[in-house]
Amino acid sequence: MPGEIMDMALMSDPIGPIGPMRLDGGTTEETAPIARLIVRAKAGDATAFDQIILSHQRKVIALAWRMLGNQDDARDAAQETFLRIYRNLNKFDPTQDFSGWLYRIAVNVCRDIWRQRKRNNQTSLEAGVESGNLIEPVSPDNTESAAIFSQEQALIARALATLTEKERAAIVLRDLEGFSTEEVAQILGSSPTTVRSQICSARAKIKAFRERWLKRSKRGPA
Amino acid sequence: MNCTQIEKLIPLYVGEDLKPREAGQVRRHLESCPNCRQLTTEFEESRNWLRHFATPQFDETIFDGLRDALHQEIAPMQPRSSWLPRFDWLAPAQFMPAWNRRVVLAGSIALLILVSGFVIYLSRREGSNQPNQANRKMATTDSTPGPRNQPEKTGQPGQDDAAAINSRSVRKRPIAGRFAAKARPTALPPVQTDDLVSVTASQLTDLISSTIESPIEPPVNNDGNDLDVERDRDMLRIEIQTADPKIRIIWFAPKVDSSSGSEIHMK
Repeated sequence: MPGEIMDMALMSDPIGPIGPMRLDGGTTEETAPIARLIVRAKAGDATAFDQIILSHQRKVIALAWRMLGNQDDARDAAQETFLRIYRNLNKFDPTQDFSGWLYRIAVNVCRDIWRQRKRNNQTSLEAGVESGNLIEPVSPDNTESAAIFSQEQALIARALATLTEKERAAIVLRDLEGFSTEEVAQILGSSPTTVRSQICSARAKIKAFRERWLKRSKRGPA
Repeated sequence: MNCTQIEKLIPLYVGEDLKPREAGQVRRHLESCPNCRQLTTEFEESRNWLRHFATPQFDETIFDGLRDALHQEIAPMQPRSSWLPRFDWLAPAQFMPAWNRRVVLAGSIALLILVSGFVIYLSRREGSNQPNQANRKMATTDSTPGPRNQPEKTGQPGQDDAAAINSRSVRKRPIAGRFAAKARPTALPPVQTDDLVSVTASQLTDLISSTIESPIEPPVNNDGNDLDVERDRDMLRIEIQTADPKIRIIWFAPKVDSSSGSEIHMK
C-alpha cells in the first residue's frame, strides 16, 4: 500500500520537483536495487532499463487506464512515460525515490493525452464507453454478473469523464491509487490545499452523477 | 460550525482528508445533525462505488508489445556511455549524487597521481644518491693507498663478495649504463664472445680483491720513465663500477687501429 513518506529531501527532476516519498512504500534497502538498475541504465545498459520497465509497467498501465479509460491510450501513455524516463535518466538522482518520479511523469503524460483527445472533441473515456472498448476487467464467471459488473464499470468511467483534468488526476491518485493527499500534491506539483479542493469537488461531482443515474434507473432503463 | 460549513467539509471527511481539528468538529456536528449524517452516508456510498473501478487484468501480449515498442524507440538513441558506474565500488551511487561521485573520483585520481609522483621522486632521489656516495668512497680509497684500500668487509672474500656480485649482477641496467658511459668516447667495435675470459664470480672476486690489496705499480720503462703515458696511448681502459661501491672492474685492452678492422681483445 503506497503512502509512507520516508524523508523530506527534494529531488531534482527534469519534469519538476517532486518530493521524497516512497510511493511504493519501499524502504531505502528496497530501493537500492532500482538505484543500481538506474545507474546501469544510465550507462546505456538496455537490460537494466528492461528490468525497470518490467518492474513498473503494470503500475503505469493501470494508472494510465484509470486516467484515460482506454487500453490503447493506456499503452501509448505507458510507452511515452518510459520513453521520457529513458531520455531523462541522466538528470535523475538515483538516491531519490524513483516511483515518485515515475508517477509524476505518467500523470503528466496522461494529462497530455487527455488534452490531445479533448482537442479532438472526444476524451478517451467517452470514446471507450461509446466503442465498448473501455472495460476489460476481471469478470465474474457468471455471465449475468459479468454484464452488471461491466455496466457498473462503464458508469464509473462516465462519472470520471465528467471531471476536469486536474480533478480526475487528483481523485484517481487519492481514491483509486491510494496515495495520501500530500503525496498526490507532490505528484501533481501543487499544494495539499489545492489537492483537497480538487478532491472535494470531484467527490461531489461523482456523487451527483451517481444520484442522477440512480434516479434515472428507478424511472426506467437508461 | 453550521450545516453549510459542514457540508463543504463532508466530501473530505469521508476520505479522511481533513486535519484532526476539522475532523473533530465535523464528527461532533454529525452527532447532532441527521441531515448532515445522511449526506455523509451518501458520500461514503459514492466513494465506495467509485473504488469499485477495478483495474483490468491486461493480457501479457500488451506488456510484451509495450516493451518491444520501447526497445525499438530506444535502439536508435545513442547509448550514453559513462565511466562512472565502473567506479561504483569507490563511490556507491545509492549513497551520493552523481556530481558528488565525480568529485570523489576526481579527488581519488588526483591523490593517486600525487602519491605515485612522490614515490617515483623518492626512488629516483635514492638512486641518484647511491652512485655519488659510491664514487666518493672510491675516490677516497683510490687516493689513499695502503691498508685503507682494503675492503672494509671482513670474512671470506670469496663468499660475501661473490654473493654481492651475484646479487648485484641482476641489476644489469646500471652497470651497462656506466659501462656505456666509460666506453662511449672510444666507440668500441663489436666484441667476439670467444675472446671473453670466462671466470666464476668467486674467481672474479678473488682477482679484484688481490688487485685492490696490491695495487698495480705504475709501470716504468728501461729509462725509469712512467709508462702511463704509453699505456694510455696503447691500451684501452674500461672501468665498470659495480653496484657495490667497493668493487670496480677495470679492463685493459690493447687499442687497435680501427682502420685495420681487427677486434678488441678483452682480458
